[in-house]
Amino acid sequence: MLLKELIEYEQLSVKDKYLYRFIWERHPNWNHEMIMFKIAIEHKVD
Amino acid sequence: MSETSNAKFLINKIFDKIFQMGNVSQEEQDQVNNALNKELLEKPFRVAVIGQSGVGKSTTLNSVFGLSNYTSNLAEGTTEIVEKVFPMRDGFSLSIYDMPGLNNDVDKDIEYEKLYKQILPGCDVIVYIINAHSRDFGEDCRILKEIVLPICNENKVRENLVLAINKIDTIGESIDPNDPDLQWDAFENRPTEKLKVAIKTKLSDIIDKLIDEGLLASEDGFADHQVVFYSAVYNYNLQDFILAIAKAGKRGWIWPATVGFEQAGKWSEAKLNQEK
Repeated sequence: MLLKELIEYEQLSVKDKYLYRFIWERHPNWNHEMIMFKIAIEHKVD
Repeated sequence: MSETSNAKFLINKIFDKIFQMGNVSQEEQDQVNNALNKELLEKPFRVAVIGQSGVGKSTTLNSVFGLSNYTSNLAEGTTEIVEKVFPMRDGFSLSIYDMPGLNNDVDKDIEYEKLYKQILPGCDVIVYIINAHSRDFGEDCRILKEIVLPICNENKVRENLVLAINKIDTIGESIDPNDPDLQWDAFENRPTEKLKVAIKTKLSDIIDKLIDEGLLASEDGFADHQVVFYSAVYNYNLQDFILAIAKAGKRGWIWPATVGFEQAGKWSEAKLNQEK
């Protein structure tokens, strides 16, 4: 993970960090941007 | 015929308030108002709507843009797109380009692609509509990847795009048409709890696919605010739609700052992520 990505990850809420890891396990080929995008969309449909 | 109303547009009201608070001279007020009106009224607010047959283009235009009884009159195989201008009120006009869907007919697609190249760069908002309960997004992905996004990127209007996922109300029917708990609650005008879960799951799958196809979260793809989920027929979650329009390119703000704000007031309060 790049430093910028790490900073963005650390700024996530606890719940979103769990979500980040969940998405990453489900899509191991996705990059940080894709995971963050998915989290943003998940909030839209929450 | 365009209506005339005494009610100012929202943007005019906001500026009036700023002028009042800032003690702005009449001369400066006139300067700002003239520049603003030039932006709002000199040319129509141009919207292109793209989508395959049956995705709900007409219903979307009726619901989101407040067009009364708009019906798509695109003839099969049409290669001519007519700009339809709808005078709204007080000089403000909405212009709609109803674009033919690309249907994997190579010859027609070449003609349609020329039309897309001709029309899309001049549009303030470009709405690409997908049917949420479609089983196969392959064709939509192809059109977006091979035609729409390249044209928009080439002409620097990618930010004018809105990826609109319609018919979320029908997701339940596509799972089990006989389950009443998967039907839209027409009385409350919102999804049932079971349908809400089904919608979340389906939308999540759609997003996953679009990300895998490189259409989302990529350098040349859609940003998250450009993706909206809604039901045009129930006016549901259209607030996100208007937000996406507001953020579209350089002129998207014009719609919610004028007629769009008034249109939003007519919609249901129901929202996809409404808290209980």
